[in-house]
This record gives sequence, structure tokens and C-alpha cells, in this order.
Amino acid sequence: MLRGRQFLPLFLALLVSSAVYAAALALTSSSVDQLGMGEGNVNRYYVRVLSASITVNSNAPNNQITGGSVTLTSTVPGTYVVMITVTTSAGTRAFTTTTTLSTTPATITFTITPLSYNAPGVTISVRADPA
Amino acid sequence: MRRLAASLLIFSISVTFIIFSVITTYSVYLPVAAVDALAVKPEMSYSLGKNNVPGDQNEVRSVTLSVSGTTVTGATVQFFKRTPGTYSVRTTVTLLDGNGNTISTGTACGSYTGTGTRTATITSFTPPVSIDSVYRVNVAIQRVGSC
Repeated sequence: MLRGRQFLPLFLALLVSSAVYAAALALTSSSVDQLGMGEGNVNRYYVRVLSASITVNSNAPNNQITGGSVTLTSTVPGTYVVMITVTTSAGTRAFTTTTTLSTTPATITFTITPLSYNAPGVTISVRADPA
Repeated sequence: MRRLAASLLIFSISVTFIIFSVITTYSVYLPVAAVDALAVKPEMSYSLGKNNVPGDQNEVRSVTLSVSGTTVTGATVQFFKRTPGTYSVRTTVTLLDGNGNTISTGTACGSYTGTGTRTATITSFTPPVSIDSVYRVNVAIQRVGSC
């Protein structure tokens, strides 16, 4: 049977192991900042669109946009749903694709239903969300 | 003494077991790999200008930013010169932040002849900015009297 002096180390060991286990759980929780335990290693990404271009059906003043291309990267490699929105005063067209993005530039070529290219110009919006 | 030690030992083992059970039961295991990357800046937009006034019906077709590291160092703009003749065209690329404020500007001015696709090269932006601060790029071309 254990005596008091022999029991003490075992008791301390149990206390320490409990504390270590609780601390390990807290660290795991801290990997997701929504849990309020701090901020951890959740990846945060920036989309960098390096170029945008349009293709038109003619060089006439009243030409139409039929597509284009964009070149982009993401700071966090992965598969993304990329939505390209083309807007002029005549309306809006959208193109969506799923592609792999990384820090190496990727070019996405898109086609849209012809859209009048009127003054003052066209806005091309590119949005990427994790697939 | 021995009886007290034995009681304490059983008590501590029981308490420890209960604590572990409660923690394990009410803990949620959520690996980081299961969490999608969080978007800081998931979107950028480009505005390409087109003019429709007498003597200036030129239009921008493309723009490419040059980046060194994360700093925007220049831009290459292709535009269609529809209005014939030889005259100067000023190309302005404006970089805006997420609130729509201008944070940097680059310009180039050159003389162009005839009609067709032409290229303007902007070699610097003032002030230098990180592309991660840029949410919108505006590209405008304008016929000017001289550079």
C-alpha cells in the first residue's frame, strides 16, 4: 500500500498531465480564431489580378465585347471558383469557372454574350473564392 | 495514514478520469485543414476607358501591371486608336484602394500615328504601392495637344 510520501509524486504527475492535456486542447482551439482562443494558422489569401483585356467583334465605334482574358494569382494555392463580371452602360455579363490558383500567374480566357462597348468604358471585376 | 493515502489516490484518479471525460466529450476537433482560406482581398476590378467625342474615339483594350515583389512598378496599356491622324495621347493608370480612394497614379504620354492597336508603357507609379492594397485599376486615355 502507498504511503503519503510515495503518493505525492503520483498526485503531482496526475495534476501536471491534466494541465498539459488542457493546454493542448486550448492550442488546438486557437487554430481557428472564431473560437475566441486567439488567432492561429488559418490561411488568409489575397487575389492579385495582374492583367485584364477584352476582345471585341470589330473595330467599329459601336463594337461589342465578346470576351477577354484575365491573369491572376492567389497568395494561398488551391482550387478557386473565379467569377468574372463585365459591365458597361449597356449591361452586365458574367463568366464563372473553377481553376487552380497559386503564386504563379494563371490566365483565364472567357467568352460572353456580346455586350456593347460604350463610352465611358468597361469594368471587369474578378473575384475568387475557395472551391 | 495508509488508508488516507489510498483514499486520496482513488479520489484523484477518479477526478482526473472525470475531467478527461468531460473535456473529451465537450471538445470539438476541428482541424485547420478543414477550414477554407479566409479572404483578405478576394476581388479586383479593372476599368478600361473608351472615348466618344469628336476627334477622340479611342478605346482601351488591355492593361497589364508589372509587379516587383508585391510593388506595382509599371503598366502596359494597349488601346485602339480609331481616330486617324498624328497626335498625342496621354494614358493614365490610377490605382484605388478598397474605399475608392486613389492611392497611386502612373502616366505616359506619346505621339501616335494612323489607326490600329497602339501600346503605351508606364514605367513608374507615384507613390509606389503594394498590389495587395489595390482593389481597382482605372485606365484612361485622352487625346492632348502635346505631351
